Amino acid sequence: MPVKLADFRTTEKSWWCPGCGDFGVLSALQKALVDLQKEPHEVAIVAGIGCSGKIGNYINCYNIHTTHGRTLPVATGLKLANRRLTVIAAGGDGDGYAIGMGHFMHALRRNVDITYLVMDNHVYGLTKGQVSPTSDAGFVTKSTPSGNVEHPVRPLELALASGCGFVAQGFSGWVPQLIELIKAGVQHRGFALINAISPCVTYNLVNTYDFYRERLKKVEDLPGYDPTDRAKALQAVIEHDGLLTGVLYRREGPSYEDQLPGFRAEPIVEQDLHLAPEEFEKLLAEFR
Amino acid sequence: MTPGDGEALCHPEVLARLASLLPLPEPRAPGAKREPLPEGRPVQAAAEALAIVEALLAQREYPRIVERHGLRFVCYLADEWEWGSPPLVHVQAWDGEMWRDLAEVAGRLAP
Ligand SMILES: Cc1ncc(C[n+]2csc(CCOP(=O)(O)OP(=O)(O)O)c2C)c(N)n1
Ligand code: SF4
Repeated sequence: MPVKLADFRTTEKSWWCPGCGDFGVLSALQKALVDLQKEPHEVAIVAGIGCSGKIGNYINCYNIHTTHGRTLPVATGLKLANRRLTVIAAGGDGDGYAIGMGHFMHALRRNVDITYLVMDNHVYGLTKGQVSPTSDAGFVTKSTPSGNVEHPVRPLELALASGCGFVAQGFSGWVPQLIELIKAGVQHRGFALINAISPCVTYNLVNTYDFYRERLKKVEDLPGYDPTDRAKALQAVIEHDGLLTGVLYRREGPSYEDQLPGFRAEPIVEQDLHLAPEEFEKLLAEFR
Repeated sequence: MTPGDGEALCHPEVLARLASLLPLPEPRAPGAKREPLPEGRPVQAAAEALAIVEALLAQREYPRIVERHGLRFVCYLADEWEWGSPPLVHVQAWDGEMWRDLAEVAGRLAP
């Protein structure tokens, strides 16, 4: 029986505000998984804390709702324990690029086969509208009443500089493109960053759908764009102030777990972890 | 979008409910003379409700949002976000800080 959209749906009533960008991301994720014909039991979402972190509640597959900023270490552990699972880490820009930044940097270079879907709305939605690490300078919020004096984190530039093998950006107002990006990210062997621009219609009245529709460009429309050329990708991202969508960079190669002895192909739960008594005694003897 | 979405949202009861939420005629300016309610108000409001539904359904990309008469209308098609749900229009008003739901108007699916 082919997998259908209904298989990934839940009856959970959505908590998100009407028009929230996260609906677009959820829809793209569900459709991408159907296109890839993944069964719900083959997929696990590891979600952070935030409005975006609720995404796991609205999709029928395994879901771990972790603590704030800890999506990537939990997703890493899960993937290493069961390589057969398609592991998707998901959360907001606060979850990933503020409290979770230490994990993000190392996940980029470690290259475990995880797809990381960041719903980037340039604001803290769940806590009712404070400045976030991707907020633009000058952005007025409850926590920055006279305007943000900091400069934003640039996740695409960071990912390109840190050796990430798949860097993409999508927009929840362009669901068909986002579906293709998620499919490519899931199929990529290694860590895949998909920064999904996902407007918050309640607490960010600057970075709106119209704001992005007027400014975003698709890399396919840039003459001669080559997503395998990292230096050119970095240059393009800087020149366009991060307002590019599509697969910005991809590099094929083995993932972390492909290279490490001990991470056998079969899931840990299916491995024979039984230890013979004499081997156990030998092990103990080493510590005596 | 399916033809069913259009039918469900253009159902007379749905349009009547939407029309009842529209602030028509436009609010009086402070101190202005009170005019008798124009005879044509229900007709005007019903036509405006239909125009809003058509504008929502004409949008091809997520999200379907239209702003008219100081209100925001956000539309989800049947089954778009909630399994088994009819198409839905959130009618929202600006409270000075954010858009808040005044009402949720659900489309009428054919039995
Ligand atoms: C350890 C910890 N610190 C702070 C918080 C409060 N908190 C909850 S969500 C959040 C940020 C939400 O912003 P983001 O990750 O961008 O997600 P969004 O709600 O915008 O989707 C914060 C600071 C928390 N739950 N746990
Ligand atoms: S507060 Fe913003 S991010 Fe949170 S559900 Fe509402 S629109 Fe979405």
